[in-house]
Amino acid sequence: MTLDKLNKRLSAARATAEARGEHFYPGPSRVHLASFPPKERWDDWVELDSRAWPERRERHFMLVPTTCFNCESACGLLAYVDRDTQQVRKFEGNPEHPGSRGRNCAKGPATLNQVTDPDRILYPLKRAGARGEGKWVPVSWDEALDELAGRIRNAIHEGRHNEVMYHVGRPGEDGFTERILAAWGVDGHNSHTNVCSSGARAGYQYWMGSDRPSPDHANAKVILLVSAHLETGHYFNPHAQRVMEAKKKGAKLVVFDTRLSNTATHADHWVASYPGSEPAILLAIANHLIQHDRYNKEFVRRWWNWQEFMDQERPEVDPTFDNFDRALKDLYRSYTFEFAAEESGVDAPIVEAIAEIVATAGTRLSTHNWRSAAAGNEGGWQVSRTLFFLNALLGAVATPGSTYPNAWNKYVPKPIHTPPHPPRWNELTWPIEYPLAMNELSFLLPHFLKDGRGRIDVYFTRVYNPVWTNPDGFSWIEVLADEQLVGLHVALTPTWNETAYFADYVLPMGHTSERHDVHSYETHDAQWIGFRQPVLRAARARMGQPVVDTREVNPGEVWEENEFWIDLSWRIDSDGSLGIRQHVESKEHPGQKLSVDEYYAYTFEQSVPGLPQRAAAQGLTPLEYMRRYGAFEVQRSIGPVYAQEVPRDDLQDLGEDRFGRVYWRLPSTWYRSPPRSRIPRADDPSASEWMGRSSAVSPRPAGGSNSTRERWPRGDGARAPFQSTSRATSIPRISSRGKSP
Amino acid sequence: MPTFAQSLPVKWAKVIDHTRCIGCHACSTACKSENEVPLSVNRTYVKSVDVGTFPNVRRAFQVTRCNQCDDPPCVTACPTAAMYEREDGIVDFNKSICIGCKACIAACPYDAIFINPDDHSAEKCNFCPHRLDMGLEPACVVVCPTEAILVGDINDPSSPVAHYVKRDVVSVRRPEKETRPKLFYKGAHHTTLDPIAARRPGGGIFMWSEQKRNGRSVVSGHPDHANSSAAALLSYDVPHTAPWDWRVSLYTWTKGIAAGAYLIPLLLVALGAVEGESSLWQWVAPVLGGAFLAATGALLIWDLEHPRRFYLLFTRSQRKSWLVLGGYTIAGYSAILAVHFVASLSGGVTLQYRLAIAGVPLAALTAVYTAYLFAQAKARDLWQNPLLPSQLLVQAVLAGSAALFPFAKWLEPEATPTLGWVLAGSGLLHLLLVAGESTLTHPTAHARLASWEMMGGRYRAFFWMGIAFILGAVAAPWIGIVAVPLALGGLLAHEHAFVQAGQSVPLA
Repeated sequence: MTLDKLNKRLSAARATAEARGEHFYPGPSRVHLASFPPKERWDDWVELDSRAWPERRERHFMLVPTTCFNCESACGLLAYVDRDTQQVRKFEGNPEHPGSRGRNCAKGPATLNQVTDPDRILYPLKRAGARGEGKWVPVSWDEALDELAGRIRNAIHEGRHNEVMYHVGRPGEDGFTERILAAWGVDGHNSHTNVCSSGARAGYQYWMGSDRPSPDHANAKVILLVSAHLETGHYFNPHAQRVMEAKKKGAKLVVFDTRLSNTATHADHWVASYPGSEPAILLAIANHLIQHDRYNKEFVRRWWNWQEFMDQERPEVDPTFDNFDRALKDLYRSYTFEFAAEESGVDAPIVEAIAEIVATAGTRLSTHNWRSAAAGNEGGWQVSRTLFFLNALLGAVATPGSTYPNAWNKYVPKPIHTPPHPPRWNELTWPIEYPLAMNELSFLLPHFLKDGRGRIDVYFTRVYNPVWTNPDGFSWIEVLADEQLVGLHVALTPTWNETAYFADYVLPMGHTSERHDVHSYETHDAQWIGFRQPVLRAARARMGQPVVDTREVNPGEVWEENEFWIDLSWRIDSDGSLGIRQHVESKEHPGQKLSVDEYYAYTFEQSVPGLPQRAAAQGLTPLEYMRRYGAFEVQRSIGPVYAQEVPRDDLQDLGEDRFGRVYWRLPSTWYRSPPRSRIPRADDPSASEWMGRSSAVSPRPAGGSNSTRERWPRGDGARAPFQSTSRATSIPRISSRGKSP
Repeated sequence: MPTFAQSLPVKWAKVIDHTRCIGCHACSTACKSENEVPLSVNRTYVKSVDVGTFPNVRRAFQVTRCNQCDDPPCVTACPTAAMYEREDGIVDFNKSICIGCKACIAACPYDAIFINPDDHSAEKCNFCPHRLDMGLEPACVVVCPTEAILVGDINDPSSPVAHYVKRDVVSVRRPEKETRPKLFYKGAHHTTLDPIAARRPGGGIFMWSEQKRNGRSVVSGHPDHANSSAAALLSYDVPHTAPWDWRVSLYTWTKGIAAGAYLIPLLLVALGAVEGESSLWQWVAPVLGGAFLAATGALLIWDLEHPRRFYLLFTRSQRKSWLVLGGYTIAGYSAILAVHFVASLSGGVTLQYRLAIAGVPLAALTAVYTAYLFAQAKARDLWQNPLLPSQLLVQAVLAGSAALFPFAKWLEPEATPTLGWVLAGSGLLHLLLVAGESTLTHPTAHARLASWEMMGGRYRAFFWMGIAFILGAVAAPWIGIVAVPLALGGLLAHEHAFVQAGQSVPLA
């Protein structure tokens, strides 16, 4: 065969692809070359073997999308499944993914190393010697599941719900496991967040009721980062793309980082202040805007609850906006450039230059802080708080090129079953003496157990290595090694780690291309969902060989959490007497266990607006569409949700105070027994009600006894299922709807 | 619409835009995955240099890889045309005919070629031709989060690459090597473009990785004073290895002896110190010469990554390669020695004299051709030395006279004084040539750094041992056979210092 014929038959180049009526994915080079094969040929794409080169050896691949799991950005990947060997040859980006747009960081293609890691755990293992002795025997999944189910069932039977705990680091999904815990009636979710991002989260939460920022870097005029998001942290790949886009359009980049990061390299101003002193600089910038009347007074007048401030703090003067402006000037007068310089070690002229840049941003100021200076500093939450202060002053909130509350740029679809929130309170995670805790006080767990404040009968760790992650790893070892304190430790993990070493069961779970999850992140001003799937299972299904259990295609007996949790829940309540089984039961075939296919088919059909229509246009079911393309954009250019009219349906049962602050009414039972201090994570769909309503009630604990908390009703009909993020967040969240004075 | 099969003169080029590059290494791993490049070697990676002093400091990146030269030294140096330039300008390779001689690695001014530890053949970035030919962009282009890598036809005015190259400010690495790279850098910093502009950090570590240290490792950055007045510290680079190890040092030595073993007896005959029937000329010349020539050949083949493909040197000769021309030379010289030996058996002294008309130049060329082979290693400035042919010839005389000395003492004692003076004279001449090279400044910073590594750096022990021993050997007329180990040992030490120091300069 001549090269010419080969080319005509196989080429992805624009002319040849378009002549065949196929889709052409243009690449960054903007020439006739495609960045990806035409999607029409993803079933059987022929590539030339790079190792056999220059011999033109043809290899046939099926391209199956999945979602990267090497950070939280959830970028798209395309697995190249070799049709002959049924193995993944490589991972590339997924051009259909709205967040990552076909591009990836180094960790994306390197996923292959995880899949082929010779040291990964391939079979369920059970401890053979003493805990931590390092002796293991292979066991069957059935044996492991039966023992786990038995213990959990007993704990539930005996009212020891709080002895079941699931401790997760990177969830990599939106609420699946929390719903499983809710189905068990267990308040057992624990996180790593308190040694990580909770400082930044608090600063954002107190401003806008959402605990994460979503900067619209691409459209910004000024980008202010207290982080290194051009090359580290989530969501660096999606963010770096857009930061660079903006820079090329002339945006200024200001970076606060104590390290000379790659991000600092690209900054117009790199500020390496004394660690933790960033708020001094940010307040000096704020003061500059305030004293020189360069803040967005119309926005502040309309959207800040300054009337309440005047009522409480300046009762002696007329509550006019002019007086509020004077009060602001008084309040921040002392935060001069010289003050900032003294505090931070950054020269005053540099602070002034940055303040000038910020002052020119208008509403196009995108800011971002995540971990970085907000973590590991006492009062670190003031970093994100003072950072977002600048957005609030400029009105750079949910406008093009500004920073959004994350919940508006995220979409969490409603699943087939939504169990009610568990009517319990676990003081091992939310100790009553820390009412202002932003997230679970996870780092105290070993100390609480040692102090006799409780014990754990079944402890799951997943994508979490507390022995390594927490500063006092040895405290964790002491507790994990003590069978009186931790009855059974189950490590769900693809690879060994220091914590799994102290487990009773090590259960192998799949990597990026070996499991199902759906999630969505606030990578930019849009809402999308990404679908992670076992690519070999999807490939087999496309070849007409349906797979019903992901273990069939995974290496060894590696499983996935979705099927694991469903199976475990089913075994805990096989006769349905505990009320658990209903939450993992098929709707199509009542009495049978829910399959992941049904679970996701329901989700994609019933609660992702626009997806069924898009799928139908291609003759696909919504699930088939997601299996084929891996991602779907629900909405883009969300805009200032707070300025939109509130849907009439949401205007039921509301109250409005004399300052114009709108109150939602919570179910009466909630009023009687304010249940907990927990401020929900914005990405916790089971907490969606809280997100909508937490501002209505003072989120403070009543300090009541356990018995009052036990009265929290289960199956509360008022807890409407999560419809969509935009809907759930359509009430202004900055603080209130202000009234014109 | 251009496609790969068109008749237009497509010239593929790439632009790396360092005003966009964030140094994330996505291109490095995408390339690894696309081309199944094993651990420890890289077709592309991101070097970084921290420039300036706090707080006026930045990190400069360099996406480092094959420069796709329009005059590729690797192609010229390759003995089998395993490295070749396609019509569309891509410098590609065919692993099935690579003999693993590493001449391409020695030749590449960018240190962009390596031996794949899995298949033992040379490879490098080849612009993903298996993708380009299918109408796809290379893997690194597609993966890059900030679209900092572009590929295009430099002859197609509508391609952004052509625009960047022709209308924007771009630079190339090491233009003085006259390779005419088709990899262009936009916004690159001079401290990354020049491999020794940045200082090598102390303590054996870069920003977050170890500097690999073993016998042949070449750690990037200048070990002494950096070649930039901007404060510049190399913050990350991957390990590099010098292509030619002690076997090549040793081969220059055995080859010198092999050449000298023929030339010196003939010189003694010419000077009248011995007769034509002398066993030095009759037997020692062909046997000693042949033995060391065999050792030379064995070392050469041993040094190949694919020793069994040695024959490709002759069946797929790329005749611009001095490895091929050297092979022919050695083969020709071997034939001379063989015929000479047969003539000795049959008493054909006249034939031997006639044979010497070809034998002398072939023996001399056997000694000298390595200068041309080394010169073809365009990257190695120390070896780009016009004096090198004369040096090698002098060394062959020195090695030959020393190697012959014991045989003379045994078989032709009356020739030893003359031989001693030849040894002393060639030793002195060698020292003078070395002194000239060592005391004069060098035309390039690379040559100067290599010379510094030879005399004051990593190889100083070998170098000074070579000087001292050969200085001792100059006393041959008085110390006699004691001079032999001094001369041969000193020469070997010198060759090793010279060959290894020549490869000790970081190129990437």
